[in-house]
Amino acid sequence: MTGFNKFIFTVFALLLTFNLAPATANAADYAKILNQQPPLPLIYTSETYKDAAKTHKPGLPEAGKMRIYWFWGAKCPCAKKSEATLNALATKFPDIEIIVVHSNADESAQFAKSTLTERSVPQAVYRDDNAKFAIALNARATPEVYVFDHKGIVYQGRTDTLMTGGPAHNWVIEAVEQYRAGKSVKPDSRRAIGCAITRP
Amino acid sequence: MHRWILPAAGLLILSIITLQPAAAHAQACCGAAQGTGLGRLATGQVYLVGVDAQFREVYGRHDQQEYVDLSHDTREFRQTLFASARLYEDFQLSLIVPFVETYKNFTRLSEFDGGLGDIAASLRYEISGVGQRQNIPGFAIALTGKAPTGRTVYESLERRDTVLQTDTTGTGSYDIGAQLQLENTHGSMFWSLQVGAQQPFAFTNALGREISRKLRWDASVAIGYSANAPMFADDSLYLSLAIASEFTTGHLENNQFIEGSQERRSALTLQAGAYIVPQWFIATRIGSDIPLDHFGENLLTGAQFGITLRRVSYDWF
Repeated sequence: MTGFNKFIFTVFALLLTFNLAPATANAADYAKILNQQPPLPLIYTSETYKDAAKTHKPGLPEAGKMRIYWFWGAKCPCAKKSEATLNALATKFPDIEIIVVHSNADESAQFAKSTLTERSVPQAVYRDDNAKFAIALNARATPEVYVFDHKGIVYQGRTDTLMTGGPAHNWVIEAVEQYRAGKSVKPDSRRAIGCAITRP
Repeated sequence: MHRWILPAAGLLILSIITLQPAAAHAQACCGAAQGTGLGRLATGQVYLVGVDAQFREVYGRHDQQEYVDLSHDTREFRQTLFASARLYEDFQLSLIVPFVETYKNFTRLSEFDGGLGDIAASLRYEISGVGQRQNIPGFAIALTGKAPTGRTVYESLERRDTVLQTDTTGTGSYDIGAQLQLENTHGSMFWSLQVGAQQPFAFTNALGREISRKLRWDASVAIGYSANAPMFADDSLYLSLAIASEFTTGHLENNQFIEGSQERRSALTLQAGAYIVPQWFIATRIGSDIPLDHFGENLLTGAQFGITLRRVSYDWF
């Protein structure tokens, strides 16, 4: 084997070794990860959520409650398409706290706010400065969801079938329905599809 | 008139037609993956399978570095089956199985033959995805390999089934290599840059001589545009223009350098592709090697037309 071949084998062996570590946290780790995050400031609210808190402190919901973090991007056409799914979710489960998070480092909070206002998005949206929250959760795309109960993660990833085609599904609603029916959510994660969340 | 004038004019006309300005709201995340490469998985995709068909008309060759027209007909047909799968989060494993047929017409002799070509595989590791970092392009490295499953020219000569060696489909060597890939999007524009090197292992040919080849380098640059096209599944028509170049410094036989065995070729390719439905992507391309002096060395020069169909999946089951 030549020096060149040895070099590329070594590089890949190292990369493979590092990559075998789990990309996402297990259920127990999420409480710790969320609690370590700084409060997220509110940047936009619709009339429906005019009483939304000015900041949101990440964490798991209390027992018997659910909380959903929904990553959204202003320039992303996939995030825009999935706003209908988000609105359907909010309408169907008014008791579930939905925290829409804007993380993109290449979009200002002001730009996000003007986009939300222009599109009259009927939600409350919080800013994740420097994408710290997205990095902590390993959220990579918009739209992408993290559904939590008081113990940890219930469902993570893709929101719907709007970008993949096939029979129409609102994966988040279906996950919540399975959970509330006492069933285990299967699958509990789907690879998110959309635009990359831009880190600084 | 050179025979390459026609494909070159076609490229130019297609460029003018397709690169008309359009609203900048195509899917910003996946342009480079759709516009370049045979089996690249875009964001969210976990595996794909596909087929590619290519027709190549050989019209000249570089005799050393000087371009000369070819006096006889040579046409190559290539069908490629390919598949890619995502491993863990950031790895992509791809397999490429080509079938190659060649038609030659030399004076009064016509021949058509072919078969399985050299099977290739690659393992791609994405260090940073497109759009993941502000002002830093997507960055990946790939380990590539090729097995000598095709028939070499030496085997063709020994086999004596053909006179013009139209049954030659492979190079005879195991190759291993590495590639560096950069890509990014800027609104509706995207670009990619790829640089690689392959090291062929020595092999013994049908005449009992050891053949070894020196490191083969390749590089390609592509620029692309995601045009607004609401008739397609993701509202986008992905267009790209690529220039690719490859070269090797020569071959050795029984450790003796073969004079004039260094090879070089540069090609221009224009591709247009779109999702006809969310899980089916179709692309068509036209391209040509550059038939000018100093743009190639000791290799045949041709124009090609290809069409690719791939079925992508966003879930394993």
